[in-house]
Amino acid sequence: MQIASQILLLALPVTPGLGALLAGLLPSRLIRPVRALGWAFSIGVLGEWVALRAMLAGGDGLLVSAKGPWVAGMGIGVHLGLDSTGFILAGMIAFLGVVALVGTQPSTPELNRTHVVCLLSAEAGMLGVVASWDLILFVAFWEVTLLPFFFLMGRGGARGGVAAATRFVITSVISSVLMWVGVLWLVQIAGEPWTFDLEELAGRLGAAQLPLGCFWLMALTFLMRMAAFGLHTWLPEVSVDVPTAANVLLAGGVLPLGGFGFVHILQRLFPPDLLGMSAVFTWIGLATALCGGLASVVQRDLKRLLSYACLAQVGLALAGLSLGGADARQGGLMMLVAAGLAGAGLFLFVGVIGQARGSQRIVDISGLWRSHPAFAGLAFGGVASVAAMPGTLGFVGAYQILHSLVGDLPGLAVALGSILAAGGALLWAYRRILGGSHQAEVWTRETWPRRREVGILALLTVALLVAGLLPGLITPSSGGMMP
Amino acid sequence: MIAVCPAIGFVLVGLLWLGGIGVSISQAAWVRSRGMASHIALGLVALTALLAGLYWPGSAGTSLAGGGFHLDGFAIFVQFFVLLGALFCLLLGRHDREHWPPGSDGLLLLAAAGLVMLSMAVDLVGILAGLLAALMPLWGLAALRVRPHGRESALKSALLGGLGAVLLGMGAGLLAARCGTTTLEGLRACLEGGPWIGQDPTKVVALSLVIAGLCMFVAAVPLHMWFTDAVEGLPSPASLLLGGCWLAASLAATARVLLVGLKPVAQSGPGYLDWTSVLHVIGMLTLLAGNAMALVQPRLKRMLASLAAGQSGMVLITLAAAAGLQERADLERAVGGVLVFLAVHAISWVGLFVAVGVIELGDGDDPKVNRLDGLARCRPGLAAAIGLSLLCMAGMPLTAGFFPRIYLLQTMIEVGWISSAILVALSLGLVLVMCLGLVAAMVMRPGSPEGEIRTSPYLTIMAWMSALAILCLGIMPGWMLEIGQRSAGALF
Repeated sequence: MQIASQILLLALPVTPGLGALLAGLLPSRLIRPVRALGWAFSIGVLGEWVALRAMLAGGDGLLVSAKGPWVAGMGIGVHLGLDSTGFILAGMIAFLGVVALVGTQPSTPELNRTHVVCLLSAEAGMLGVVASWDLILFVAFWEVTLLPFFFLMGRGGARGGVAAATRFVITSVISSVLMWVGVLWLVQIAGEPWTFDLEELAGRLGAAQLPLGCFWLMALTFLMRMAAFGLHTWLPEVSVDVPTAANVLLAGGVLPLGGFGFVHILQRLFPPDLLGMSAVFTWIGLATALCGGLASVVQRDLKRLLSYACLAQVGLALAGLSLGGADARQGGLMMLVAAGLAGAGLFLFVGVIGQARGSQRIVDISGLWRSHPAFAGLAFGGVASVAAMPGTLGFVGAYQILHSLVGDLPGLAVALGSILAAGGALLWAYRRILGGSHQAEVWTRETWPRRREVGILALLTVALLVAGLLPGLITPSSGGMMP
Repeated sequence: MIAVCPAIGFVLVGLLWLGGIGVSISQAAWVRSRGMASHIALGLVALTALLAGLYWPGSAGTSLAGGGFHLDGFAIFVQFFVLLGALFCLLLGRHDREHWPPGSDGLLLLAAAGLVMLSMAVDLVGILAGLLAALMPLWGLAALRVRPHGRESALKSALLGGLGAVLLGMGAGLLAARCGTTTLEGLRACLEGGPWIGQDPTKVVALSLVIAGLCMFVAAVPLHMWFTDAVEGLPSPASLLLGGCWLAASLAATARVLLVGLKPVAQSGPGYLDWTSVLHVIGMLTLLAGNAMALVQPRLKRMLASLAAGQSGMVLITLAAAAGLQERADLERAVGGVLVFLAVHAISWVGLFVAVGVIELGDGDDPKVNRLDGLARCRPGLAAAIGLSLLCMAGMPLTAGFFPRIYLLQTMIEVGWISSAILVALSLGLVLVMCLGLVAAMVMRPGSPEGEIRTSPYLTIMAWMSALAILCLGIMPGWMLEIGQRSAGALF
């Protein structure tokens, strides 16, 4: 059983990578086979995760791991593993891989192969990040993931796609090169012989005096990836101009990975109080949430509104993850997953209607309830989760975080305010595009949405509701969610 | 440990020199023999690379020419990648016969002979001789170009190269006057045993001159202008040799001078400026200025030259940092990282010159960066190889450029130069963004008409070989890093 689970673990990042390679080798004129290959591999990855879920017993620490040497002289190894946090994130990424591949398509058929290759490569990279227990491997996957995102965003986006891709890459590169230095500094402090193994490094650094500069070098990386307050301006700009598939992975992969890095690297390598910085992080998270909530109130573009709503959720997640208590941290993780699933679903929804209508502006869209009631209704799951309505995953996360903030009234007020603002703004926009008169004459696509788009949106809504009602389903562990 | 036959060093240099003279004369005198002579040149370089490789990596050192040259693991490592680089230069010359005048293959062999000599030099005079022996055939190649630009660049590089030689020569002369020797080991003993260097102004001036001369040769800011001009003005195969191999070999020789000869005076008394601080600042300026200049260059060869200057800055900072290391193992690791970095630099230049070869036809011998636009649409394989080289240059993970950069950054961190490491990392980020921009232009922009894209089997070989090397060393870097460290061990 252990060998089987190790094989499945290795297969998680390898399968989509292999799929991308095969799709890249196929001639681009074979549109259907390339697409089918993409679907098959992404569904296969999800299947692997489900099989792994069935095999693994709950518990703390590493649930499954596989280790081998890579560059022995430098203390670098191929150490893959999943703990509870990684396992949940891996499941979400595998699921959103299917959502992006099945639920979206490129703007022109010529871009089909690029679309499939980029999505599968991005999925492989993100799964690699989640499963890495060696810091060099982590950095390598972290950086390599940039390439597919760059091409995914730059090719086939709306106006300014290349500019958005460049903006994303610049932000990401700056953050990841800082992480290089932080990692090497930590390894230096840990002493000879060098090791980049996360477990071993954590053990060696346990009693060491760690410099604050080193902490911030690494923390900035994750804060930038989470679009934390002050470093958030790239997110709304990028979200508006990139294709829907990139939006889905931005909301469900890129932002949550920042939070994952915070838990996986910072909380493991640094002392529990993060060198006295955990309160600062809580307030950075709350400021991010408030910024996202307030900014979403004044948005007129649907994708921009969604990006700010995601920001509000991710900010709350960061606040929860840095609060310290087990409940708050679990709430933070649930909020990350909720932000990923709801964001992906709503971006998919907006992408479909934006393509059919030719506009993403809220004022240009109305009467959706009369023309497409089922499709419009399905999006409510995501809206409800952002508004933290009971029965959704957003509620589970928000409740745990708010409960942990009860002793801190200003923090509680900010968190509540951000939820109300983001949820309210989204509900208002949702009511606005559902209500009003039916504008059949202005829709540019005659038959929309496609069946698979409706199916995928339904799947996301069901996932949000089921995970909200039975959160234990997505984790093999009843406790020990954190390092 | 394999014992090296002392004659092998002479054999390597002699073969290349004699071959170079023969090939030059035959190509210039008998036009019909050009192809055959070119084959001979290729064969000679391959043979010398093989000979160097036979002794690599576990060879014990042996002295030549009265101790002025030393054939050790360090020298053989440098020779091996320099000769492989020269092999690709010859292939590029075969691809582009129009811009490769008769006799050029021979001059290239002569330059390669100079580089082989430089790699073995353990004496300041020998290093100067090696540098000039490698540079002079390149001046000839620049002057052979029909365009006035080539002659201008030849003149400029001759003048500034001459200035560098004068500085280095004067420094060596002054040191010889004070220490009675110019060998690096002799200088080391003299500086180690004598009074504090600050009490002897002659030695301070001599060291300053030596470092200034070396900085001139390794294209350090503000003495770098000749290098970018020369790379642009030379025919492309010679540009590849200059930017890929010559620069790498000069940096390796600089490492030998600094970490063997000048190591005892790496740290002066408190409150005094030592050479490591000076080199640190120069390296940082070179890195930042080189990369910043690369960002705004519209011409491909000039852009690559600026990037190479930036890489040179990074090596200079590392060498300055390495001088502060005390443990032999740390020094070996740092210098091993530098050696692998230089080898990878040469490999990535081979891939980048595939780009130059591809677009040189349309733009004549002054290729513009934007001529790469849309290359992936008509030549996806070549575009992929060029893209890999660009990413390797920027140190992207899973390419050969990633791990050597880790060693370089780690060396800076080991001596506590954290802010320098951050600046270097940010500068690498800048290069990565720029390289990604070029890759994006190849993939996303509409391209030139297919007829203007020029390929040949030689270019395809270069593209495949460089891509293969970059991927192999990126995925399995352990053996190369180990060889680099063992080769670096010969220095200490």
